Amino acid sequence: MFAFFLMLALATPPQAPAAPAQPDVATAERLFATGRFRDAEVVAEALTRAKPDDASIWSLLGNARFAQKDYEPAAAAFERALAIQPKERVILDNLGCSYFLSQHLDQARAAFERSLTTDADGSRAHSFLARIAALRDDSATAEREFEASIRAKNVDSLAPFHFGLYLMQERRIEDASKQFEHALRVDPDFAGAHMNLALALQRRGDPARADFHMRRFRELTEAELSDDRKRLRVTALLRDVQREYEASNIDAALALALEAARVAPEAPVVHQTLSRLYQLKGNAELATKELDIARSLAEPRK
Amino acid sequence: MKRLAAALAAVGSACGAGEPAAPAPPADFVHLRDARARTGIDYVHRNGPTARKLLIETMGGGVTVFDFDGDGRQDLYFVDSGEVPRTNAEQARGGNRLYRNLGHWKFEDVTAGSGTEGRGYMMGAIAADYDGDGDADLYVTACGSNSLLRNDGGGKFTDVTKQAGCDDTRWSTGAAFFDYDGDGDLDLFVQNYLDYEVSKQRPYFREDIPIYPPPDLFDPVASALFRNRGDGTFEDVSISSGIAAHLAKGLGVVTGDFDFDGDVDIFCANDVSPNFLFANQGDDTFREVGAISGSAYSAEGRELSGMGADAADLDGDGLSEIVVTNFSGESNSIYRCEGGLTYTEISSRSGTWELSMPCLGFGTRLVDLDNDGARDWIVANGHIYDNAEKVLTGTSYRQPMLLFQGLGNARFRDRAPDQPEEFRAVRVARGLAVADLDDDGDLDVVVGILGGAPLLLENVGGERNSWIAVRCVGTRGNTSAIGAQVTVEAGGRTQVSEVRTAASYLSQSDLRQFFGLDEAEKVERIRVRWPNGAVEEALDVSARRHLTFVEGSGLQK
Repeated sequence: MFAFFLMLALATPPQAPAAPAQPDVATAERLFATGRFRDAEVVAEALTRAKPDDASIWSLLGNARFAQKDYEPAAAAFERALAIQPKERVILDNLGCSYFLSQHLDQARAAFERSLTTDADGSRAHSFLARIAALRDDSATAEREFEASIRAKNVDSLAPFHFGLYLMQERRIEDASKQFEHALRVDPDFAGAHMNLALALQRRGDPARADFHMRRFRELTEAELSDDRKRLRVTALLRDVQREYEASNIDAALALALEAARVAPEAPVVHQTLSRLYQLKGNAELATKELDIARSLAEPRK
Repeated sequence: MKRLAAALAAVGSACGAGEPAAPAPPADFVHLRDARARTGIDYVHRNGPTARKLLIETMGGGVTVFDFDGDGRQDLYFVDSGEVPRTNAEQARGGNRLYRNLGHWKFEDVTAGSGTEGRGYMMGAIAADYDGDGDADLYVTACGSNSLLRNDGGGKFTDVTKQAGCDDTRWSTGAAFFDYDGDGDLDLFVQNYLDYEVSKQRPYFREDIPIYPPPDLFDPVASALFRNRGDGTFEDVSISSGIAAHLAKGLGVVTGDFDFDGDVDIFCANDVSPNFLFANQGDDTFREVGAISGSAYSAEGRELSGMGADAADLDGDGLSEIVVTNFSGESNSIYRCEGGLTYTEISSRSGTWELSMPCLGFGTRLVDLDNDGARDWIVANGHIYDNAEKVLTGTSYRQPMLLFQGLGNARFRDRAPDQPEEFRAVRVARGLAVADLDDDGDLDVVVGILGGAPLLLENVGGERNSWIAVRCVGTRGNTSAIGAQVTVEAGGRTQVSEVRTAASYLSQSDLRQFFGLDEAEKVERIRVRWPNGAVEEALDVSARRHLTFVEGSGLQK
C-alpha cells in the first residue's frame, strides 16, 4: 500500500541542506524526502542531463514534479523512465496517476493496463481503471474493475473507498457502507472514509454511528487549539494533508504535516498525522516517536 | 424534422437580410452569440490592478439583471470595482452603470443622476423590493461599506444604507434578499469573504514571482443576517440566528426551500473552507448542516475552493441539486439531492469532470437554454493569478467558458465546441447572469469580465422549442415574490423553479421563471406556491407566452 515513493529515501529532519554545486542522487532524494520538491526537481533535471539513461533519476524527476502537482511534466519524466525500464510497475502506476490527474484518461488507462501486465493483481491499477470507466459512464467495466481492486492481495485503502463512492452515486448505500468499512479496516485513520461512512449511515437511519464517524472525520482533519487563527491554519493544512493522501502523494502530505507541526507543535492531531504518514512510508521509528508525542500531548496535565 | 426545418429557416433568414451569414445553431442546441456591439453598452469593468497584487483586484465583476423602471424589460446593472483604495474605509465615488433596456437589443445608459454609481471598491449586487413599494431596490457589496440603494421611482435611487442599518464593513461578496422568518417582507443575507484590510496586505511571492496571495493567508469571517423590521430598517440578527457562529471564506450564495418544509434555507459556497448549508429551523434560527448533508466537501472529504453556486432540479425528481464552481485542479461540484437536506456528490459521473478540472470557475447558472425541458449548465471561468501560466501548470489566466447541455438525468454533454468563436474565446470572466433580454422566450446570458467589457450573449435557437415564462408579483410586501415556487406540468414532465435573488457569483438573474417545454404547445397546469404557503393554479395554458401571476388573484389575463 502507498508504495508510490517507497523506493525513495525516507524523510529526515526538516532542515535540509541547500542544493550543492555538484548535484548527486542522494541530495535530490534528500531534498525530495524533506518536502523541497522544487529543489529536488532542479537537481534531478541536472542529473538527467548527466545520466540520461538512468531510469531511477527520471522517476525521481517525475515524483518531484508530481508532488508539485505538475502532472503533465511528471508524466513526461515517467515516460522517459519507462522507455529505459518498460516493465517497472511502480513507475507505470505513477504515470497512470499523472495522466489521470491531468485529465488524459486514455493515456492513464493505457498506463494502468500496462501496469496490470506486470502485476495482474494490482489493486491501485484496477481501482483507477474502474474510476476511468465510471467517468466514461461505463458502469459494467467500472464495477468489474472495482471488484478486482478490492480482491487484490495487497488492497490499497483507496480501492474500497472509491468503490464506496461509486456505490453511493449508484444509491447502493448499504453496499457503499461495507466498502467504507473495508477502507477503514485497511486504514483506520482514513478521514474521507469516516466522512462517507457517516453520510451512508445517516441515510440508513443510524444517526448515532453516523455522528461517531463524522466526529472521527473532524478529529482527523481539524485541530483543537485555543488560538483561533492557529486552529484554522492548522486545520487547513491537515485538510491539505488529506487531499495529498487521497491523491497518493504521500511526500507532499508529509511536507504539509511537517508545516502543521511547525505552526502548532502542541496539537496532538498533527503528531498523529505525522505518525501515520511515517508509517505509510515505512519509517517505524519516526512513526512511533510521533505517536508518543501525540499521546503525551493528549494526556491531561497534572 | 421540426428542429431541422427551423435551423434551415434561420440560415435562410440571415442570408436573406444581406448580412454575413452567421452559422446556424446546431439542430439540437443553441448558439450564444455576442450581441454587445449592437447594444450601445460601452461599460468596461475597472479593477485597478497594482504591482502589489492586492487580492481584491482579482475578485470583482458582478452583473445584475432587474427591471428597475417596471416597464417589463430586463435592465442591466454592472458593478464596477474601480481604483484600489488606500484603506477599506476609503469610499471613492463608484463607476457602476445602469442601462435601461429599450428592446431589440438596444440599451441606454441612464446612470447619470440615477444615484446608482455606488461607492467604494465594489463586488456585486442584488435587486428586489425590500420596502414593499413595488419597485426593485439594490444592495451592492464591497470591500468596505456596502450600499442599500432605495429605488424612489423615476429612475432615481437613494443611498439609505445608514438609516436602514444593514451595512457590513467587511469584505462582502454574495448577498441574498429572502424572507427567512416568513413575516412577508424581505430580509437580507450578506456573505463575507476574508478578514482583509487593503492597507495591510503584504506582497506575496511564489518562487520569487509576485502573485495574488492565496486566501489561506487570511482569516475567515462570518456572514451577516439582517431582519427586515417592515419599516424600511433592518435589525442585525447574525448572532441570534446562529449565522455568526460559523466562520468561512464565503463567495457564492444560493437560497431556497431545499427540503420543501416551507421555509428558506441558505447554501454558501466557501473558498478553501467547507461549504455551509444553513437549515432554517422555522424559529428564526439556522442550523449549519453542511457536513452531514454531504454538501460541504468533495466526495473524497476534501474542502474545496467554492466560488459560485446555483440550485435546480437536474434529474427530474423535483428536488434541487446544488452546483458549485471551484478552483483549477478541482472539478466543479454537483451535489445530487437525495431528499430532505441530503446530498451525494456526483460530478465524476456527470460528464463535466474532465472539462471543469483545469478551469477556475466563478459565475454559473443551471438554466434551460434550449427549452428542451432539461437544465443546461453554463460556467464563467478565469484564473485569479494574472501570471498563472508562470506559476502553475495545466491552467491559464484567461480561460474559455464551459457550456453543457443537460440530458435530464444529471448528466451533461459538452456544447462549447459548437459555439461561435466569440463564445469560445478565452477571458477572465467573473459574474454571470441569465435573462430573456429580448423577450423572445429563451434565456440570454450576461457575463462580467474582470477589467474588461462584458459579454452579452444572445441565445439563438432556444426559441425553436416551446416555452413558458412566469412572472410572480407579490402583494404582501415582498412584491418581488422572492421565495415563490413555480411548478409547471406539460408534455408529461413536471418542473419546479423558485424565485431567488441569489445564485451564481456576485450576480443576479431575471426573476421571471422560464420553463422549456420541448414540443408541448400547451401547459396542463401551472402552480405557484407563494412564500406564505398559499397556492394558486392555472390550467390548460397556451405555451410560448410570458405570464404574470399576482398573489391573491392568480394568472392575469
